Amino acid sequence: MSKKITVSKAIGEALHEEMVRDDKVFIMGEDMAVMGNVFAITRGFLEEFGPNRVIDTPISEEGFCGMAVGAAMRGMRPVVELMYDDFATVAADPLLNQAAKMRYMSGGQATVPMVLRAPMGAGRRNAGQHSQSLENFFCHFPGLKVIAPCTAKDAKGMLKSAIRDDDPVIVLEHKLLYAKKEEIPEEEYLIPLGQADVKREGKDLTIITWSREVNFSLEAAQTLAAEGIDVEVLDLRSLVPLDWDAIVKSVSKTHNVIIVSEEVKRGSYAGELSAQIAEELFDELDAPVERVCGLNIVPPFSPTLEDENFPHPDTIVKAVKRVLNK
Amino acid sequence: MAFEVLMPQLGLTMEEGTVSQWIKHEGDAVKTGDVILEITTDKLTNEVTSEHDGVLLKIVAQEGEDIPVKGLLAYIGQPGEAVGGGAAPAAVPAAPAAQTAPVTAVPAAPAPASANGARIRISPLARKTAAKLGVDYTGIVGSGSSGRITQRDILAAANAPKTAAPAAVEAAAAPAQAAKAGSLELMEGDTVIKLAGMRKVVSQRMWASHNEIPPVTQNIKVDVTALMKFRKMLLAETGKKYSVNDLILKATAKCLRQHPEMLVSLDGDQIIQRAHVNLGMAVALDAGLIVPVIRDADKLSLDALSAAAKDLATRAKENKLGADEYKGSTFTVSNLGMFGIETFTPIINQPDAAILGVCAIHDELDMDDEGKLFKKQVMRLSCTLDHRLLDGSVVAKFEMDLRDLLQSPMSILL
Repeated sequence: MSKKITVSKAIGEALHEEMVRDDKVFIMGEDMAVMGNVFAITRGFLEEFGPNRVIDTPISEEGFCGMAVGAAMRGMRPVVELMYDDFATVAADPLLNQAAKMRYMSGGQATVPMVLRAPMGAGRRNAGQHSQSLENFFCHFPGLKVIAPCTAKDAKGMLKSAIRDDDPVIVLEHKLLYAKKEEIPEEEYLIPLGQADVKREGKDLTIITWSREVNFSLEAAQTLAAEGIDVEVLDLRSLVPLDWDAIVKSVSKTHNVIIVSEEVKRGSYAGELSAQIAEELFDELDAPVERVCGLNIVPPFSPTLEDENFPHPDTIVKAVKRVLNK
Repeated sequence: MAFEVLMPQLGLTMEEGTVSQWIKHEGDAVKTGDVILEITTDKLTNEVTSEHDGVLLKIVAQEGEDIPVKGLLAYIGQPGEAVGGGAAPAAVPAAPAAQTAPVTAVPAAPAPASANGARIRISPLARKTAAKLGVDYTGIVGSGSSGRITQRDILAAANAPKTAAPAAVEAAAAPAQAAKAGSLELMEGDTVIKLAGMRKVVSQRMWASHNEIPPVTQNIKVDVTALMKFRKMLLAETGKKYSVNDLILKATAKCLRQHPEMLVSLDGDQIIQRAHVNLGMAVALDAGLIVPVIRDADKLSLDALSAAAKDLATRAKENKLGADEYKGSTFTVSNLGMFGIETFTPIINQPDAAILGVCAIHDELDMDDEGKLFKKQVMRLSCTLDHRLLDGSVVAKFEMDLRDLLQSPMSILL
């Protein structure tokens, strides 16, 4: 049985189910309680679970992220929300120096089973400080897990797995996916971290992507199919740990690759993947790996300019044809 | 700025040359006029000399590589000077940004050069596939971006028919033979030598000719008793010693002028009637075989023809022929007489339509009308014809006329 709900509702369901299942789970963030989250994800949670488990914080990211690290080390399972992933820079020390390294620095005596939900991405006219895609920033630090699901089904199943995971997990949620309505299973389910998903099978070229660009890539694939170009869309879903086997399998089949993300191209995680593929799968490649990313600029506020600053289906179509020389 | 050493053009028709040996090595001092390397063209070895004083900074084209005319071979400059990377297109001076490779760097594995001199662009997968299938990709035009050879191109080349239009035969010959490399089991003491240079060219040409042409070889016996006397007479009267070959060349040239039907070439579905009697003259060398051409041989006096033949043969043996001097034959003579061969089946030197094999002279007994035995000197001519263009009777008439000419030698000069 399945039902059709929005991505934000699916995320809300994951939080709700896990809070019901485990009373060590609590949520915290700006406008999470009384307002029920800017995207209405946690509406009604305060009434149901009370102020001890649904906490409104001041604008103090470093403070409440540090609080979450401490609570997690003491056995709680905090799920913290940054209103925008851009604010992670404010909370850099608790996230990158404490949460990420605590298991190692304590010789395994302490773990940090916290989740940080971070809405990301461009397209909402939020300008330079509220529109970034910072995959590379989080993926750089060993000790953090980083996921970036696209579909409602993946968002729910992976968030539940993230909450149950004993290490800190960063969940990157694209703001423009929240309102998308999609089918998800009626019954409870989990999707493990570290497993990519082939969203479309193809034989000519592999598009490696995640988050909102999965949808754009699928649209591009449809356009290309009409022209006889058969692309595979590999949705990584989980950036760290990376499903390398899935990449090997797909690249060994198609021998041509593009990597699509919304990131600033320079220093992107897309670039990291490209380098890994060049190092490990050189002999499988029939053309250079191309990164299809945003420009090396501050996210513009101007709608016209902003829409030029992340890959669209037609951008992807062009890149595929470039790589295949068609 | 380091100077580039480029593949010279030796003769109008030369398109590429093979680096056969580097005389100077990286780091060696060179002076203007010093021989820095040897190159092989279709059939010749030539020396390339330096046009600058300095140090041989970097060798770009490795021994065995085929480099087009004006393609980059090496850099000469001052010690420590930076030079462009080997990947830069040969004819284009390396961009400043690319000039970062330290001079002391060990040259990377030789990058195969394509027909236009640039490093061959081939995807890693295509290279792997080519190695697996034994496909020679050096002549393939890539279908990928920037002309990159992709796996599809390799698979297409591997599946291409071995013989297509006549013009394609020579190109197809190389992969067909290359595909077999490594299939022979080695026995103790065997050594493996790469098929290269002149041997490779001869190998491909003979293979192509023999595969393409339906040949017929017709032998005719010539009484050369008079010819041998005539030769002695010429020596006695002029003091000049003409070889038997000179006389045969002269007679052949004259006879061909009377038989223009012999001077044809097949080009796809066209027959080309050749206007000139350009006599190819097979010369055996230690390294193989070369056929320098005596142009308009029918218009030369015996004296001039003899001098031309001697000059070409001498320079052929010294590897000093120009590239234009062994192209453009319309008929070829191959003489194995000095080795005692009695008959043979010469292979046609394409694009000629026929080749004349000249055999040894020996004594025979014959009987005159009165039953009296006498000794005479005879020689056989073995003429191979391309039966697509010529028929046995046509060539037989040519052979008979040539025989008659040789049997009344005075008429050779008339």
